[in-house]
Amino acid sequence: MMDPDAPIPAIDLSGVRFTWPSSRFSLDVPEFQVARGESVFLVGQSGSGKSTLLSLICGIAAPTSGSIRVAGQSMTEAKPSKRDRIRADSIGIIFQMFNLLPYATALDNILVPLRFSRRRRERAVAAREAALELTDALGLSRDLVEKTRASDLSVGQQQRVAVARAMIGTPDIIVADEPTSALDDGAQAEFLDLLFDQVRRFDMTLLMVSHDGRNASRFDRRIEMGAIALADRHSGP
Amino acid sequence: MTLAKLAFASLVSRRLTVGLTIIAIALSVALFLAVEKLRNGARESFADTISDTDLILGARASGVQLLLYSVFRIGNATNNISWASYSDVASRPEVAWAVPISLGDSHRQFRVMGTTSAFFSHYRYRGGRALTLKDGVVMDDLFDAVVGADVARRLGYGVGDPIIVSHGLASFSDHGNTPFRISGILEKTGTPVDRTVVVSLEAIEAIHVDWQSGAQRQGAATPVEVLRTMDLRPKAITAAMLGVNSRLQIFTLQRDINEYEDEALTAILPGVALQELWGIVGVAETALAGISVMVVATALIGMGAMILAGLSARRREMAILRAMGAGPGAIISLLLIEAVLMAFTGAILGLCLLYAGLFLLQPWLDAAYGLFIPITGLTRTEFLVLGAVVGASALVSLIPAVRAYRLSLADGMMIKM
Repeated sequence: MMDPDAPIPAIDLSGVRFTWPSSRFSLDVPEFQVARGESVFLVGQSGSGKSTLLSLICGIAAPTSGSIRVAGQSMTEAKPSKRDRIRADSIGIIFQMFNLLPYATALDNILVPLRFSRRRRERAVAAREAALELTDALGLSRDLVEKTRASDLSVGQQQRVAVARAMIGTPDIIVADEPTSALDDGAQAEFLDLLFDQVRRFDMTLLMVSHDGRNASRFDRRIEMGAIALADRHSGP
Repeated sequence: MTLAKLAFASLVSRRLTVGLTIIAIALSVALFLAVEKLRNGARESFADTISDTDLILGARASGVQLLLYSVFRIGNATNNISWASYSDVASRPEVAWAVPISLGDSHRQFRVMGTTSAFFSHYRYRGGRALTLKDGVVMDDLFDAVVGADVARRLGYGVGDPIIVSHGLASFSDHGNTPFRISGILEKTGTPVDRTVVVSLEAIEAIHVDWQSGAQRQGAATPVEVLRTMDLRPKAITAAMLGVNSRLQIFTLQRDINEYEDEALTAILPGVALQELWGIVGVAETALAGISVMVVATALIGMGAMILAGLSARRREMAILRAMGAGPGAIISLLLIEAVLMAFTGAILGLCLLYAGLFLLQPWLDAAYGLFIPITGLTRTEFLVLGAVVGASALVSLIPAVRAYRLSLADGMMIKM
């Protein structure tokens, strides 16, 4: 158990067990914490349960047993709608392939999370200005951000838009799922520079998941998936 | 960024399929509203055929049959009524005016009707409008004829043109030695009068002097000069239109006529008979309305299917929104908004189509079918129908909406391409 006087961790899993309802896959995470403001690099091969772990942390999937707390709030005790709200309020997500809405402009993409979180809306007082300030810092021109549809952006521009979207309204935690897997080495380093600049600027917690351990040295901590989680594909009834 | 804006951007990005769906909805809505307008127009045109006539007098027949041959000039009278009976009824104190009519002959495909000048002063249509002459004057001479607007237009007649009346309907024997002269042409009315040749009762009598039981008598025809000197008071007429002094007397008069002892007579209230007739014709009308409802339903189901079919391609979109914190409510609302936007656009477009079509076709419908469709605003019912279309679209989209939510649950946020 944690020391009661210690600050509340940003992410706190204990005794978590998850079984996909219709498959034999199960995941056990006995203990996993990320402290507030910490940056953690989680390495794991595909099939190690990374994506499942992220779904659990983000409250999209609910564990069969155990407790998950995110930014001090219990995901496991919350109803699904409450889990959606915790995710919207506290977590900014950067996907593999960045996953922008292709038909919307860069700016509209960045503003989407605000639609679902009152808290982030209030933090990003003037939403447009907040978004443009972010993209300025990320080196995107205003004209491009306001007028270009996501489908017309280059990969590098999409990355930056994805970062801005995760950052808007300053959520407590940034979760990045293989954000660099599609990039070459140079681009990877550049992307991480951008990401760290913003995370430090807003004093956010960063959890990044990847199958390849390069660049892990830039993080406060590097953890192997196998060290915290046990994935089992063959047991079960 | 609001959900509506997202939904709109998403729709625009799929403009081809979305456009086709909207067009399908627009066409179905336009069709439905057009059928409604036609139904109402037809019903009104029909009810407007005769007004201000209190009773129609004829030989014993069903009300609908009497109405059909006396007003619509469809079918034939079963029997004539004698001039004596007619005079007896017409001279009753309750009767304010009486217009005798005599049918049975034709000119080309048009019916010839013998009557008196009272016809022009008492026949009313479309809420009390009187007949007016576009050209010429009412019959002045024994062999003068006034033709309806369609007769003049179809046959290219003008005032002063001679016409020959044929004996009976669709017959080959003409009243060739008694030609008529067109003295006047009536304005278009949208009633069967447009397709009628009006002559005097005496003229009907005159052209039949040489005829007996449907065949021309052997021997030389009576010269026109002789006819003019003869007593041409008719012995029988086909029917008569009656007006009463007080509406309160209509039913008494009707009962007295129906119980007339010397001859089997019938008197009908035109309004009641029109309704009865519409009750028969109206079945087709109801069927038509039913079909157009089905067309609207088909378009909406098509829209539902289109949304449903698009879902698998949009799983990523849904997963992104879910990851951004969108709950089931947001996903479902997004698809509802999409459907309602499409249906609403379709309905508005359908309205535009309807009115454009009405403006273009109104003169033609009036000219070709005597069907006058007034261009009016939407009735309350039509507004309700439009509302129902939008409401039904929301209902239809619930199926894909719920499915989208289920898919997004199963996908989690880690959608693989």
